[in-house]
Amino acid sequence: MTAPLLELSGLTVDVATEDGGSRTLLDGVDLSLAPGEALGLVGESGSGKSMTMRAVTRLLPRAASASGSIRFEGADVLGMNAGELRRYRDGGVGLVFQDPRAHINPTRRIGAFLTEALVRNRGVGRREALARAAAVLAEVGIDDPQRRLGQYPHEVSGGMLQRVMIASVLLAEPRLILADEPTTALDVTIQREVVAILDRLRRERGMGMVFITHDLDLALAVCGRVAVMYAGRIVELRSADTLHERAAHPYTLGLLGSRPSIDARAERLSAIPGRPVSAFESGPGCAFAPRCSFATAGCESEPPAPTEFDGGLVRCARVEEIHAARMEAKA
Amino acid sequence: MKAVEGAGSVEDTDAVEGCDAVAARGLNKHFKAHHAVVDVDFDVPAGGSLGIVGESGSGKTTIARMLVGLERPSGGTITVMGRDRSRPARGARERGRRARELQIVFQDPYTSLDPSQSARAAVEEVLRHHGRDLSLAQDLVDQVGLTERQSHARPRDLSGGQRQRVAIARALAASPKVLILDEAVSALDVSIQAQVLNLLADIRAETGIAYLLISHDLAVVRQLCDTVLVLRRGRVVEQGECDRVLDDPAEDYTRALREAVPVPGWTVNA
Amino acid sequence: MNRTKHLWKRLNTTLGRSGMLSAAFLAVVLLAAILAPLVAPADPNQSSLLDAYAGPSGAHLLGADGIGRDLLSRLIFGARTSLLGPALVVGVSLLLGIPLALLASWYGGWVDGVIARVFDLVYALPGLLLAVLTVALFGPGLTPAVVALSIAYIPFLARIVRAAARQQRVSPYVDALAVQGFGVLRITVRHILRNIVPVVVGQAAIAFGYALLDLASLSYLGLAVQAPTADWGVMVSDSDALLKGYWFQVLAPGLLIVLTVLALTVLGARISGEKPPGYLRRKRPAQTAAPADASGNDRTTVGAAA
Repeated sequence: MTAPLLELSGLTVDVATEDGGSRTLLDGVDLSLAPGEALGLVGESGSGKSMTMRAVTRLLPRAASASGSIRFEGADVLGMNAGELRRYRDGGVGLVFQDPRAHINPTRRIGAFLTEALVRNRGVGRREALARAAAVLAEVGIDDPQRRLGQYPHEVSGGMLQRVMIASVLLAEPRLILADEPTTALDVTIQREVVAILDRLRRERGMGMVFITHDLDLALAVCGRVAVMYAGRIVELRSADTLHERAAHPYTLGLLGSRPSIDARAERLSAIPGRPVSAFESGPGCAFAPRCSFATAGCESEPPAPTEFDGGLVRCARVEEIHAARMEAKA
Repeated sequence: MKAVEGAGSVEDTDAVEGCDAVAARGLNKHFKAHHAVVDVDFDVPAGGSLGIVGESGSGKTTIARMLVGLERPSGGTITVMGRDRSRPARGARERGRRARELQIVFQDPYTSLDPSQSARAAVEEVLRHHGRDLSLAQDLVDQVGLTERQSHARPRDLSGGQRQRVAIARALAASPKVLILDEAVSALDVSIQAQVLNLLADIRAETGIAYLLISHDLAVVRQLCDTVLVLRRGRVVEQGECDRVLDDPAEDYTRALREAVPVPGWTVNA
Repeated sequence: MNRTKHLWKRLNTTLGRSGMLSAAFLAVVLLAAILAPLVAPADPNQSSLLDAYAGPSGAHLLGADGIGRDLLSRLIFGARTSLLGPALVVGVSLLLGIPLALLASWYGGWVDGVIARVFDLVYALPGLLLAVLTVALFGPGLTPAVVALSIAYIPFLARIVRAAARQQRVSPYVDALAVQGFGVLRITVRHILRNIVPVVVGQAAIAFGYALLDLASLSYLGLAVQAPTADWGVMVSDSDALLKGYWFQVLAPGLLIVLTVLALTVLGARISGEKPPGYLRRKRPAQTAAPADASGNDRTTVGAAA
């Protein structure tokens, strides 16, 4: 096993509230990513998937504080000084956001947006930078890159702008890409193209990728392993190609049953009762227990530890009993 | 759960019997130079359920807005319950009648409720407006699965799914014959989306209301609709029974749409 | 009991410390104005030349003015005219401005265009100039001054109302109400206006302060409230006292004007939802040296989502 590219251990994020208290948003996240690996982070609102990404890039809100450890190629991210942090962000990690329009200055041309970091931070000549930008635009499948460099963000479509965003990330030649719902705002046909580009570039360049999404099936298609998050914790971590058959955590099972199928109408979707909660709203035990049809009194009081099960990591105290019961029902 | 039956007032009785719930013929809409909707025809049978599927810019939301009278068609006709509504309503009486024929639930649960009104107040206001019995408010609140406490809370204290239930209750308070669901479950978390889809199926089974579901999500359409219409750049690509169109599409665009949806075994390389 | 406690707490969190202090100060001023005959120690117009420019004493708590009128009593009675004028100005401009603003925001298009241009035109006219012109035409007095300022203040209030109403107008909930068959009047008044009340009240409080200042200036110039009447603006214009070196007789009403306007501005800003300065510099929790807070790394906060 090679040294991990990114390693989170016991990552916890608390945010101070106005009345002087604090609220936990992430509660002891452990995660390890090998160089060149793609990992999916899947969850609903409040699950902490975006907060994890913000912690990794140290883009937390002002009132939030992180503890635990984040290591990138062995370096302690939480302890970096301003200079180290700048180098880490420019060349270490690259970020792709959900809404490129909100993250690209609308008053400047695409060429200026793409070359700014190269020219200002790395001292690349303007002409050289533009040439590199054009080459990367071609790489993300944009025709006529020279013309695009002279256009403003409002002149191109959302799908095109997301490719520009990806191109800007590639220009910094990062070892890790963090993609936060990069296709949620796009149409499905465009989503497919953008995801295919991300996937191809990742493989060609050997970059690691953390792919954050609410769409479990999309994550399974893009990533080798998938972590399902609930209330600030990872509840199940499993290889993508076996998740559909082997999913063991009641929440993962619930998510799979909630999603209507495109192939057939279900008589009734097996919806999970209640609503998703954040870490600070949950009790001392398993955060999912109030919505779980398998929960016992013990689940509400004692937090479950992550355990190896059926080739994956599952955070459920009753995982074996539940699995046995399901197998029995199936037989 | 108790179904809330339509309490038709006197003027509702002249509705034409045995006709389609919604019929659109040669529907067109221009926004200056942009031709947003081009010669669209469709029917929603009484008690039926039609899904209109399309990507952004397909004109699906414009169609919904024309049906409820928030936009005026540039050409073509719309009939709801056998009555023409291609022109703006004249007078409060006609506005009220149209409201009791067709209602809508919008996509964004955060802006589609009056921030200063509780679920209960919103539903009662609508009941009062249509001259219906105020005691129906309790039944409606129960029907959409809101608790007593939630029904008295302001929208800001409710989750997205709960707010969408309020919006559904408010629409049903007019006891419409047709309900337009404009991306009504798209902004919800997966586990909440399933709850609301089940709720909508229950309501249809109990009341015989017709649905017109506007969505970009083929799986949601399949779950809730009998027929489907695929729209692209304002034009109808194909329409027909859900099973037929989705399992055996006649058009390349429909096939591309279907294949772009991530499903088990789906890979990124097209 | 619990309910009042809850209400108090909510008031406290919306207004903050500065807002509560402002509200308390204004309440005292208002109460004094209303109860003037009861709380004022003397008749404000009773002069006794023997007491001219008397210093503070048992007989005159804050002293007396040039013709021996009790200063405290004149300040208390002066609050009446000083507050009545701005109240009329704000009331009249709201009465005219709100319907215009709602009309513009509902219909948009050319209706909005015409109303917005008229607002811009009036906004460009200095209120004081308009008042001076009106007084030149109709003679000095509170009424012409109030009428002129009312017109001048319409855009100041209506532009804010229009922007806030516009924001509500494009919310889907307004569409939903229209689809329910509700009429324009009901939707705008019962829903839109109700939801923008904090903005209206906040802006009205700020306008009240400015109107107080403008009317005081006009009274100072002898164009609004006339001399023998007790009024803060008139009292500030007591040049005789200044010439003779009795500065307190001028400073006291001036200070009241400044404090009242300041309190109204602070309160108005808090009511319309503006956070007090320093809000972002929230105190950190006790366990400092949280790694993520080190070295100013968090300046690049992104968007709002989480």
